[in-house]
Amino acid sequence: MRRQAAREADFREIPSSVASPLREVLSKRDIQRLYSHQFESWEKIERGESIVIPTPTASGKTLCYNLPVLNSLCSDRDTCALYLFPTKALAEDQLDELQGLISGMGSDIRAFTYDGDTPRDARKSIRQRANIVLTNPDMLHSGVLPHHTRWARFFEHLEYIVIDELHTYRGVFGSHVANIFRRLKRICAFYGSKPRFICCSATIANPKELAEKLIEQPVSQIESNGAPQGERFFAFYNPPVVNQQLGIRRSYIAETRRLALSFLERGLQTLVFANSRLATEILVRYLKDATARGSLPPSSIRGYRGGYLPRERREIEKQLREGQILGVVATNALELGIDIGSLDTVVMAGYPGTVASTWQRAGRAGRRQSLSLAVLVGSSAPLDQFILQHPSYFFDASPEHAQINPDNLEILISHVRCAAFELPIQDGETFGPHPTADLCEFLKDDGVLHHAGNSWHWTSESYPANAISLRTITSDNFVIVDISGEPNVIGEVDFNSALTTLYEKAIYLHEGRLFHVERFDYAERKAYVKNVECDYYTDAIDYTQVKVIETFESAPLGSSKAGPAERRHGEVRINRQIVGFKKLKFYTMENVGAGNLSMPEQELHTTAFWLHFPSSFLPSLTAYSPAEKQGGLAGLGNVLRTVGSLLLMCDPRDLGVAMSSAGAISSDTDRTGPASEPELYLYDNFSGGIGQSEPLYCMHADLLQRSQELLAACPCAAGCPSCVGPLGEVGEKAKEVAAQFLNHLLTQDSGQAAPAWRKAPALPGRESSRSRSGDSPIASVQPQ
Amino acid sequence: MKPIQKTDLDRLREKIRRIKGGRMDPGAPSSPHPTDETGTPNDSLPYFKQDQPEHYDAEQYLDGEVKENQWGRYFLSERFYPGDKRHGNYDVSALSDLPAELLSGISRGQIPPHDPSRWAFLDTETTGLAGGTGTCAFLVGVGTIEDGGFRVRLFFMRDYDEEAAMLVALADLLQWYDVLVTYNGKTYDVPLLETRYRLARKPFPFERMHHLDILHGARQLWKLRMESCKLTHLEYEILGFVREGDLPGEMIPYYYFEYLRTRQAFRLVPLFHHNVMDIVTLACLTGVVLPAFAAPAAANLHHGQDILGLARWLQRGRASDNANADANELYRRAIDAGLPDENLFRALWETALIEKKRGRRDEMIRICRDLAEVRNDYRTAALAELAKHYEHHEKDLDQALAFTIQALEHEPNSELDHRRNRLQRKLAKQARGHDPLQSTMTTAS
Repeated sequence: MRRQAAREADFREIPSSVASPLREVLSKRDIQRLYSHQFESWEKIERGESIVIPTPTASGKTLCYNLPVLNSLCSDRDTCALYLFPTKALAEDQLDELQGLISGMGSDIRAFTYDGDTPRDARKSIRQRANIVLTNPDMLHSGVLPHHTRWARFFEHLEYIVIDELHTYRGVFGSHVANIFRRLKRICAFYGSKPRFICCSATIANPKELAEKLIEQPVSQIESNGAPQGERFFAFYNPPVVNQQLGIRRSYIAETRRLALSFLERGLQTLVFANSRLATEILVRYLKDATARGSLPPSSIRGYRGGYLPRERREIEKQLREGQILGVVATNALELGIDIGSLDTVVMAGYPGTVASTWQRAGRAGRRQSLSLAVLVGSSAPLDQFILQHPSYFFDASPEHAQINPDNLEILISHVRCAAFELPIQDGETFGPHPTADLCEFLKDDGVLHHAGNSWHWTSESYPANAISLRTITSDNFVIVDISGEPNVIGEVDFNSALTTLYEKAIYLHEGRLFHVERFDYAERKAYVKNVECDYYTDAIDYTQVKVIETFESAPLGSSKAGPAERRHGEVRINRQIVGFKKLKFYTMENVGAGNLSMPEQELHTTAFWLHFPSSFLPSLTAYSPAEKQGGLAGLGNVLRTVGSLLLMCDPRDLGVAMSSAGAISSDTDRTGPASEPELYLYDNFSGGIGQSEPLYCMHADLLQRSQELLAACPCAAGCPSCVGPLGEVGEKAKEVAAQFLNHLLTQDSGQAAPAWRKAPALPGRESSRSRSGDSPIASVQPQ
Repeated sequence: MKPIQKTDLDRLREKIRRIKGGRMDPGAPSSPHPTDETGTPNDSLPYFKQDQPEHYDAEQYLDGEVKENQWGRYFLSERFYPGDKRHGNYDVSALSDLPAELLSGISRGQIPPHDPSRWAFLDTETTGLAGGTGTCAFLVGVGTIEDGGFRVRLFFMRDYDEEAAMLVALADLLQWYDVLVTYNGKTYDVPLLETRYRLARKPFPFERMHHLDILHGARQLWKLRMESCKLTHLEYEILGFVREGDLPGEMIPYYYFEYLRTRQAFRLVPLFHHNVMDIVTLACLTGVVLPAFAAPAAANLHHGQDILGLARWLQRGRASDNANADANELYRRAIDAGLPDENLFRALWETALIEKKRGRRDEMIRICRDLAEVRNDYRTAALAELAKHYEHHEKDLDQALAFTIQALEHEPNSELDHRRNRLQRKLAKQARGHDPLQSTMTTAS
C-alpha cells in the first residue's frame, strides 16, 4: 500500500495573447486561470516549438492543444489543424468537447471527425470546409494521404498536428505511424506548410524520445503539472494460495468482485478494470447479482467495453459523471482519455500489462478534494505475480520505455511505396533520414517504380496503402466456427496462435468450454470445431530452428567453471513448424496420447537477443539429466520473456523464445555431433524486428537479476505457470535448473552496466518481495 | 540508427522472390539493356537509341510529332475523319449539323445552346483504376467537330517527365471550347485530371466549361434493354460498329508500363487506336442520345424499353401538362412497341398515375381494371385505386368494398383494413336509414 499526498493546484494567469472570445468561453466554464502545464504549453507553442505533454489522466491536457488551435483560428479563419487519436471513439469524444468550446465562443469554426464511419456524401464537404479534422492513423494512411490533392486547401493551411495518446504508438503500430508522419511531412512540404506538433502522452519513461522518434524533429517536453490532486492510496492485493504444489491462488475474479462489492456497499463510486471482454461481462453479472440481493439497485452497475454502441457508451459516461451510476466494469476502453470525471475507488482485476497503463487506470480514482483508492488484484499470470512480489519495482522504477523502430526495412519499404504513390520521389530526396536511391532501385526491380526526368514515379495499377495494415494483420486471422449445431462463429485467433491451438484433433478452450477441432482449413483461414466433454487438453509440439545470420555485438557474461557465457544480439532466421501434439490430462498433466501433424513451416527473419553458453557449460551441471537441462533452459526462456516484456513495455507475445536445437540439449537429434554450444534466444516476434533486441542486450543486468528475483519470490515448490511455465512442459526440475543457470550468469557480472537511462533503481535485495510501507504506514489489506 | 545497407535490400529482395514463388524476375527489369520477350538484348533494333532518350521513336510508329512548349516536350498525334466516313451506321458528317439547342434537353436547361464546333469530346487512358494520386492519365484524346468532318487530337506523354507539358498543351487547346463531353467523365476522367493538374501545379482548364456526361443519358435510354452500358457495348449494339484489333481495357496500364520499360513504341499502336475509337464512338453516341432528349415525343427510338426509359426520364423532370402528355404518349408507344412483363405492368401503372394527374379518370380506371385482372406487382395498388374511385367519385360503396376486399386478399395492409372498416360502417349506417335487411347481408359478406 502506498500513499500519495494531496497536491495543490499550481495556477498561472491566462496569457494576454489569448483572444477574447476564448477568454469568455473559459470564464463561462469557470476557468479563470490556467494550470502551470497548460501555461507552459501555451508559451512554447507561441514560440513555434513542437511539444510533448506527459501528464496523467484528467489533468486538463486537451486544453493544452485546443487553446492554441482555437486561438489561431480567432485571428485567421483559414487555419487548419489535424487531430489524431488511436481510436474512433476517442475522436468522437474529443469532437464533443471541442464543439462545446466552439459553440461557447459563438464561432462557426468547423470541426469534423473523418474516418471509416463518415458517410460518403459528407466527405467532400468536410474536405473542402473543415478547419479541424479529427481522425486516426489508419484513415490518414489509406484515406487521406493517397488522395491529398482533394485536401489541398487543408494541407496548405495546416498549422497544427495534434497527436493524442502518444504512448499508444509503440511497437509495430508505432513504427508504422512514424513512417506515416514521414509521408505526411512530405505532403505538407509539397503544399508549403510546416505544421507544429502537439503531442500528449500518458506517463512513460521516454515521452520526448518517443515523440522525437515518431515525428523526427526536435520536441520540447512540458515539465510542469499544475493539476490539483487529492490524497490517494494504492494497494496491491494478492489472492491467497490455495494449492502450494501447483502454485494456484484463489480466483482473482472472485476476489475482485468481493473487494468491489465492499466499496459499492459503502456508497463509493467504483470503477473495475478487467483485461478481457469476457472477464468484464462475468464481473458485471457477478456484481449485478450481488447487488440484487443487497440494497443497491442493479441498474447502478454497468459494463463498458469496445463492443457497446457509441450511444450507449456516451450515456454511461454521462451517468458516471453525474453520479447516477455507482459501479462500472470496463476494459481498457476507459483507460484512454475518455472524460468520465474522477471516482472514489478503482479495482483492477489483473495487472494491465504495463506500469504506464496501471498508473493510467489507477489515475481514474482521484478526487480533487477528497481521498481515493486504487487496488490491483493479481492473477496467477507470471507478470502479475512478479509485480505483486515486487511492489517496489512498480512504485519506484520509472515506467516503461516505449520502443519503436521506424527503420524496420519491411515497414519502411512499404511506406516508401505509399510515398511514391502520393508524390514522385525526387532524386536526392530523403525519406526520414534515409537516402532513397537504393530503396527506389529496389522498388524498380519489383516493377512498381520507374525513373524519368529527375524523379521516381509510381508505375503500378495497385493502391499500395491497401496492402498495409497498421495494426495486427487482421486479414490473416483464423475464424473459429462451431459446428455442434447450426454453424456459428465463436471467435477469431491470430495467425501464429492458430497454428499452435487450432490444428486438427486439438482441444480448443473457449470461454471455459472445450471444443474438438474437426477440420483446419489453412487456405480459407477457418477452423471447424465441435463442443465436447473430455478430461484432457492438447499441447502442440513445435520444432523451431534458429540460424544466426549476423551477430551485431557480444560481450562475456558471468563466469563459471566452464568459462564465461556470452550475451549477444543480432539478426536471426527462425524456422518453426508444428510437428505434432500431446494429449495431457487435466490436473495430473499425465501424457495420454500424441499425434503427428504436418503444418506449413513458418519462416521469420528478425532480430534477437540471446545467451550463448560455452560447450563445456551443460556438461558441468552433472546433477541433471539432459532432458532436465533442456527443461531448465526452456523454463529460463519463459522467465526471461516475462521479465523482458516487462522491461520493454511490450506484450509478452511480442517476444518469442527459442533454443538452439543442437545435439546436447535436444532429445530428438543426433548426439554424436561435436560438443554443442547451447543458445537461448529471445526474438522479436515480427518480421524484420521492431527494435527490442538491442535494448534487451543493454538491459541484461536488469533482465537477469529480476529473473532471479522472480524465481526466488515465486511461492511454488518446483515451478508453475507463474514462473518457468507449466510442469508438464518444462519438467519437474526446471525451476531448480533455471535458477542454477541464472547463478552462473550473474556471478561476477558487474562490469557492463546498462546505460544510465535504461537503468532502473537498484533493488533492495530480497526484502523487496515483502510489501513495504510507503510515505506513511497504512494497514495492509488482508485477505479474509 | 543503422543506415539501410545494400545487403539488407538484397536480403529483402531474396525474401520477396521466395514469397512470390520466383515469379519476380530481377534480371530483366534491372538490366541496363532492355530485352524483348525472348530475353535477348534488343538495343540493336533500329528504333532503340539508348543514349539519346529524346529520340524516342513514337513518331515513327504513330502519326504525329514531338511538340514543345515552355514546360518541355510531349507527343501529339492527329486523326481526321472526313465527312463522308461512316462509323458503323452513323454518318460522321451528321455531327456538324447537330443544332446548338440540343444541349438544353438532356441537361434540363442547365447548359445553354452552344454550336457543335464549341464542343470537345474527351477521353483518357490511365495507369489504373485504383484512383488516388498515384494514377496517371498518360494519353488524353480530344475530339472536335469541324466543317469537313471530325478531328481527334491525342496528347501523349512518352514518359513521366513530359506530363506537365502535355497537360498545359491540353489546357491550351481546351480554351477554344466551351462544352466538355465525356463518357463517365464526371466520376472518372475529370477528377483524375484535376489531381494531375494539381500535382503538376498547373491551372485546371475545366472549371469554365460546361460538362455533359453522356453516360447518364445513355443509361437512361438503354439500361433496361442492355446488359451493360459500357461504351464498347453500345458501340456495337447501337451504332453497329465492330471494333477490330482492340485490346481489353484492363490491359492498357500493362501496355504502357511495358512501353516505358522497353521503349518499344509498337506497343502503343493499339492504345492510340483504342482511344481514337472511344472518342469517335462517344461523338456518334452523343449524336444519337441528344436528339432523343431534346424532343422526346419525336424520338427516333424503336425498342419498347428504350422508349420506356425516356418516358421515365421525362416523368421525373419538372411536371407540366406538356411533359405529362409527352410522357404519356411515350408510355403508350413503349407499350405498343412491346415490353417484357415486368416493364409492361410498371409502364401501365405509371400511365394510370399520369392520367389521374391529368384528370382523365376514365382512362385511369380502364388501365386499373386491366391491372386488376392479372397477377402483377401493381395489382393491389390498382384495386385500391379502383376502390377509392368507386367510394368517392361513383359513390358506389358496395363496389368499393368489393374491390377493397379483393385487394386485401392479395396483400393485407392496415390502410386497406381501415378502408374496409370505414366502408362497412358507412354501409351499415346507410342500411339503418333505408333497409335493415340489406345491411345485414352486406356486412356478412
